[in-house]
Amino acid sequence: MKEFKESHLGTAIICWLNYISALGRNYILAESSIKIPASEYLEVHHIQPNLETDHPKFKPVRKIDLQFKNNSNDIAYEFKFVKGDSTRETSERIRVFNDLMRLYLFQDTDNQKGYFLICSITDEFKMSFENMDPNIDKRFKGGRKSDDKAISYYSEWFSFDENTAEKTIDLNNSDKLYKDVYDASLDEYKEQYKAKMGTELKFPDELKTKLIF
Amino acid sequence: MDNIEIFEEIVKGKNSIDYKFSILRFAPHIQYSKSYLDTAVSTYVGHNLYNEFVELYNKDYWFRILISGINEFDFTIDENKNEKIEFDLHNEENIVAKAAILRGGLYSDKPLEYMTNLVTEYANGREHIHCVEIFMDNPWVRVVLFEMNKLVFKPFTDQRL
Repeated sequence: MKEFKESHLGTAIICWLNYISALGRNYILAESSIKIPASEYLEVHHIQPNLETDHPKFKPVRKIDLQFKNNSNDIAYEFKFVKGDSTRETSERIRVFNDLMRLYLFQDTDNQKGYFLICSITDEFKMSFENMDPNIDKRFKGGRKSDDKAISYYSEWFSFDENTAEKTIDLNNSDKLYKDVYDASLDEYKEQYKAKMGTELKFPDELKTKLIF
Repeated sequence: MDNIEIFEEIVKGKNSIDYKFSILRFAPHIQYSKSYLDTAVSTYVGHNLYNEFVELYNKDYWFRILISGINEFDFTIDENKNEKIEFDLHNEENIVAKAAILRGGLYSDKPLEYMTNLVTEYANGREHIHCVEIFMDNPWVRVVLFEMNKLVFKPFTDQRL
């Protein structure tokens, strides 16, 4: 029996995206359609995928895109698909952070793991996510050296370099660009968390992410 | 450098200084490697400041547009605050192709889509090549190239930006 690997799941999704794109059916590519190749990959590995499951810590419920058990591990995935400028606006940055926070709150034990999977056409992924710099005042800058890339907003939360794969997110960051997102996320989730758990939702001082694929 | 070709066009800036619009590419039908063309670009630009553009949605990067002094060009500004400059590309004395630099979408929530639509509108059905900065962090500036296949390229030897 083939062994499940996160990187192979990522490869399977890329192959599926390329296939759909080659067929000219890019119009079906969206956050909701990523579950199709992900589920198929799991089924081939005799793992039952569970889609849109209830998050255990929110009422009314928030959903987890994909959840499954692999050996003794309980695993949750949140998906994002970058389409055009979809991850550029503040509302979308909040949504991305909400995914991270939901995954964090899902994990109570060492056997529970959360994964955030984001994908897109390469150029749109780079321009609207990996290299997205909200400071537009320097965008008509003339003459750039090879090391003059934008400082990416999302590099605060994610590493894009497998040589330094781990990223620690400081949730006490007072930079308004991030503080506004953290405050909005807390506002959005605190009542639902308290209704389910009976206690106040407190964000940790830091979150850790690690680039897998 | 073997198998690398170059096209150069002088562009006059607002200050009457000559700048360059150049295209470095692999000779046709040659198997290419991105890193080899990267080296050619580095050799060509030296220590000068420049902007480098590649074709949008084409990850092969088999040609590079290199522009010096882009902020010194005489852009026209329309009612939507979009900026444009157009120039002819020559083979000897003959105009054989055209290029344009479009800038805008600074205040749009969706600059990638805004500028892609602007290029499509500008091209108006003409076959064209649509380029963005190679760093993939700048959706606000685009280079549009018409009739690139009519340009006459020379072997890249000692030309410099």
